[in-house]
Amino acid sequence: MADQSSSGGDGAMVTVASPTDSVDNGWDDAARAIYSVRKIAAPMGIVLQPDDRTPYLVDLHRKKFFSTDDLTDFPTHPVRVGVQTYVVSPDDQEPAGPARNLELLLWNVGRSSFHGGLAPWLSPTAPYRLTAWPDFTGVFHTTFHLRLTAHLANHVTTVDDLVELFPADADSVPGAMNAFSLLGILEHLPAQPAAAVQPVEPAADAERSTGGLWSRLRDRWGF
Amino acid sequence: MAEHVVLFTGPMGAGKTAAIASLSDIDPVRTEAANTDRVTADKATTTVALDYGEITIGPDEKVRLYGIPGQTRFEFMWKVLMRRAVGMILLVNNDNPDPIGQMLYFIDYFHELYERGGAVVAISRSDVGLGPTREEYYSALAAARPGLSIPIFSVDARSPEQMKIALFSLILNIESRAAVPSRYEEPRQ
Repeated sequence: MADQSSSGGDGAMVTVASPTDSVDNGWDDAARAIYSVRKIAAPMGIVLQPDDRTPYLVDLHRKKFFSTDDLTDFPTHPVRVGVQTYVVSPDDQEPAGPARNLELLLWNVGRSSFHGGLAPWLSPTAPYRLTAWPDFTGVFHTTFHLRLTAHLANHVTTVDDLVELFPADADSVPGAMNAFSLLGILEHLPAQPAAAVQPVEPAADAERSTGGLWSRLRDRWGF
Repeated sequence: MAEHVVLFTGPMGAGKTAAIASLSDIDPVRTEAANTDRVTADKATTTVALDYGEITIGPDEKVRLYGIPGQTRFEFMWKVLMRRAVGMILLVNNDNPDPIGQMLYFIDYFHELYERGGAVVAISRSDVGLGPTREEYYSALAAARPGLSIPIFSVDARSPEQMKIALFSLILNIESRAAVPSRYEEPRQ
């Protein structure tokens, strides 16, 4: 594909040639592009355009995305998502259009990519933990996501183990892990020698302090 | 009667009163008086004693919500309330002159409560002005207190739904922290 170097109007962004331009695999390649740009920490932005929808301008540096689409009708299974990468300078003005919390978009892309499977850069047997929580006051979530997050924030765990721990929501584990990864809050820890498998269950201290309050509060509020 | 005490801590003007009002089943008990500290928070009144609300879980179980007075001159009350609490929601207004410093101050002060139970940081007023990002709060917390597992959310303290998520996450995090370590972790002492 030829270079598409061009001014972004005010010079804020310049389109560059990219092997990820115009791909046809739904959100999978969008997730790969976000992951790869995040890993190299390059001053780059990404434009994602699902099917004929409004594009999303992803600015990983500013942790925002720019779009007139507020994600209330996020296309979870687009046939095609166009992906373009851009050079972004910290001195550039923000693109035109409403600036939105990037977490919301990355969370949706992660959960919608790879057809419910694990992203190729994640391993089902590698130990992971979370370094932060998603901003659950902003992103759509279920009680499963809260429980999974609380577990991963406090315990080093593999994806395989998570599937066993959350059997009723096992199908949702890979998508959530993909989303954590795109958010940049999933830490891969060096493999440790395996010890005897221990069940993870509430300890006596927890019972004393809250007595399983979470489940009763969930019932009380109808979550 | 099973009772679970949750503290709402943080500096003046962070939204503790609003947060309790968002969650409480009853009309919150508010003890406010004329604000004599207008330099610290531009607010007509500020809490000088306590805010109180409650959530009824069942006929024999309540969650009691206590908002502490934000000024440091009321530290003696913080200690009293901390003894009974299972956790805290620390509200920090993002337009505070030093919101990260405020977060670290309250985390340090209530560290015993964190060790015994848990904490959530709720960043209010992040929609006004240019305060730190959530990532900057996490980075500062990791640098000052490595190893803490504290959820940090942006909130509108007036939103019942958002405050429910914060409280829900606090309880879930307390229970999850106390679970048996996985095979990849050292047993806790």
